[in-house]
Amino acid sequence: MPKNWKSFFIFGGIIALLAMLPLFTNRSDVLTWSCLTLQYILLSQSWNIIGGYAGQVNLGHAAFFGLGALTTRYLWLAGLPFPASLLSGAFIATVFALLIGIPAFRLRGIYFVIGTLVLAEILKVVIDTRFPVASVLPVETLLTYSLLPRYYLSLMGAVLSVIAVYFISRSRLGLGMMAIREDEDAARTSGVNILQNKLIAFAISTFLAGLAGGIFAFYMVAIQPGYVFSPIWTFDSVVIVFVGGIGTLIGPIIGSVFFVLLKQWLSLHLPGGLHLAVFGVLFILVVLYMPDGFIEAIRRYGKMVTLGRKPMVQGG
Amino acid sequence: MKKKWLVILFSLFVVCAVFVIPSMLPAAKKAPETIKVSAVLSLTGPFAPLATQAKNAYQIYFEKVNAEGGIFIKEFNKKIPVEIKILDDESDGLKTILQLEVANEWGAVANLGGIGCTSFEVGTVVAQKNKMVWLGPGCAGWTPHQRGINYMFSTFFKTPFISPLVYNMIMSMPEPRPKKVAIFEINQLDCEEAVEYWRKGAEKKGFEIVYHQKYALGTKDFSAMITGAKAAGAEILLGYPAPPEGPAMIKQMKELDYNPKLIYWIRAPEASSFGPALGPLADYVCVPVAWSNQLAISGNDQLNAQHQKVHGKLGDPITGSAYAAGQVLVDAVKRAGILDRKAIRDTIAKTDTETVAGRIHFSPQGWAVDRLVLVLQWKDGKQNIVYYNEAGQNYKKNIPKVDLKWQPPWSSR
Repeated sequence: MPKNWKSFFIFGGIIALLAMLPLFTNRSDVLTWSCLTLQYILLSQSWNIIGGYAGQVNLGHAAFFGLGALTTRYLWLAGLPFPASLLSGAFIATVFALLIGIPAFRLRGIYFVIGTLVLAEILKVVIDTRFPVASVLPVETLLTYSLLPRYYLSLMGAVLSVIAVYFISRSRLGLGMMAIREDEDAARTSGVNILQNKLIAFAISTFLAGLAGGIFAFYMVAIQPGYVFSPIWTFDSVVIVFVGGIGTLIGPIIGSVFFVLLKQWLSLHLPGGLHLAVFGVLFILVVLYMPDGFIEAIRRYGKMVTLGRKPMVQGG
Repeated sequence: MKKKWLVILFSLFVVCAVFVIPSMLPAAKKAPETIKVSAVLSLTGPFAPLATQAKNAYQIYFEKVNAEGGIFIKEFNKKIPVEIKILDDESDGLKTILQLEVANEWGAVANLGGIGCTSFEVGTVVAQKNKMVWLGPGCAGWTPHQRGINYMFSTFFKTPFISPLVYNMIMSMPEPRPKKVAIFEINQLDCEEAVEYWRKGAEKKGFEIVYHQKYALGTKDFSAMITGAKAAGAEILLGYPAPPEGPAMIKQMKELDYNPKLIYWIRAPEASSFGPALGPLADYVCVPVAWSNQLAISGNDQLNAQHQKVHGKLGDPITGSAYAAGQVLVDAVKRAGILDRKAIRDTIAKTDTETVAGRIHFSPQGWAVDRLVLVLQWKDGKQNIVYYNEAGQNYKKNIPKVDLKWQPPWSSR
């Protein structure tokens, strides 16, 4: 329990610091990177629930992000209050997930992976073809555009996702999800309702993905509708979760910071497309030498430090 | 006593005059060491073969400007060199936003834009938000100019003007002329616009659209479309392929022995990768452009010589259009006389200047009015000028035009 309190204080302290960030800087580039990092935390945590905890590799995550983004954007610009638009976007993404979830979860392993990937691609092509014109904020809205509400909304989204994952990982539902991830047949034999657990995980995951899409739609001054269905939203989330530490609470947070800030730093300091190559090499190195992600490396380092101290204490 | 007070008052007056009053007056503004200009371009990703041309042009142009001491700024009564910060948006709209925010905080007085719908449609809105000019070759899209964004200026041509040009070009040829048209429509905004004008133009000029098919950006297999156009007997093929798709389409047309008399494509054939990727297969493909390295307009000698020296070849079509954007910006900054974003915007709006790509002046929506448009045809690794629009009449002597050639069947090439 004391360990938990320590974690809560650290978590609360980080949130308080992040909440105070705009007091220290009003640089639009810093706030933009921060918004994006927080939005990536939300999106990657949402993938972490279905992919990391429930073990269902959903490569169609962009579809739910996109549905949330477009629904929110069009309702908001049509005059619906933003909070209602945001919740509608997340709700539509969840309903769509439940509709396709029942047939999709009949597929297992690689078939589920391919099925979800194809679904997102179909949506992207259809949206790209039907809506080729970008959705642009009206000039009057641009006059009052401020990054601050976007930043705080992104922060709230990220915190919500971390809290959701925290409670899931410690709940009966979370145990059921992890049991399915480890061995579906064994979980069924142990009395876990497989389809129900998968559907609940999928619903929570896609609700958060839709929410991430809605926040992204609120943040962007212009969006090409097909862009929010682009597979990069799925693959970025997957990369972040794997680099940070799959099936962990902290992994996606570390992964998002690494992914957004390092990538941006490299793009500002390495010319001629070299930044992409260097980022790719770094990613390969992380996967090779830290297959369980940064979180595992941190744990190992922590153990080394602890072990290194003990003999000194004993010796002293 | 009275004298003593007078002395004190006089002393106070002197102290105020010497120390206090000058400190209350606004200090003379110190001239910056450089004029900061950003260029957010798609240097990687699908639009890289277009945007790298813009990058080369900006670098050559500002080297020239700086070699002459920079731009004269009246406010500081001196010439100040230009510092250009080139940022890669990876052909991704989100990265365009991130990099434009970097440029904004860096203190750029204006941004020279890249080419491609994403960069243009998204980037210009960010520029409007930050009240920083976005000036560049842009894309041919017409819709972005109808959104009330007044910090956006494009030196490129626009779809309502270039799309019908193909029919005028065909009509300028002797009979027998091809009449049956096929359209391969990529699912992007500017192509959707072009299709509308191609349809209207066909109706007006007596052409028949016998085949029309949409496809998604990133498509790799075009065989169904090619066989469809072939079966419909289409003799003219209109399209708007992205740079990676153009060469793939041509190769598949050869494989499937589809022999239109004219291939008229916007975008892909002006990419620096098109000719090298296809070699002789690129021959006879036509593309409308806003500049050619064969134009004998003032300034092109220097541009061609420098491009040849630095990159080992003459500039591709976007090069001149981007170079012209640089010329417009420098002209506007000089006329503004101060390094203020709004003042620079206002002077760009009043631009009426000769550039390497012809005369440029802008409509209130920021598109170049009466823009010179040339049609180039690939032949033996070169792009020959085979047609020009009405604005080209003013440059008749400067345009080395050759005759358009119908494409022979693949079997006889």
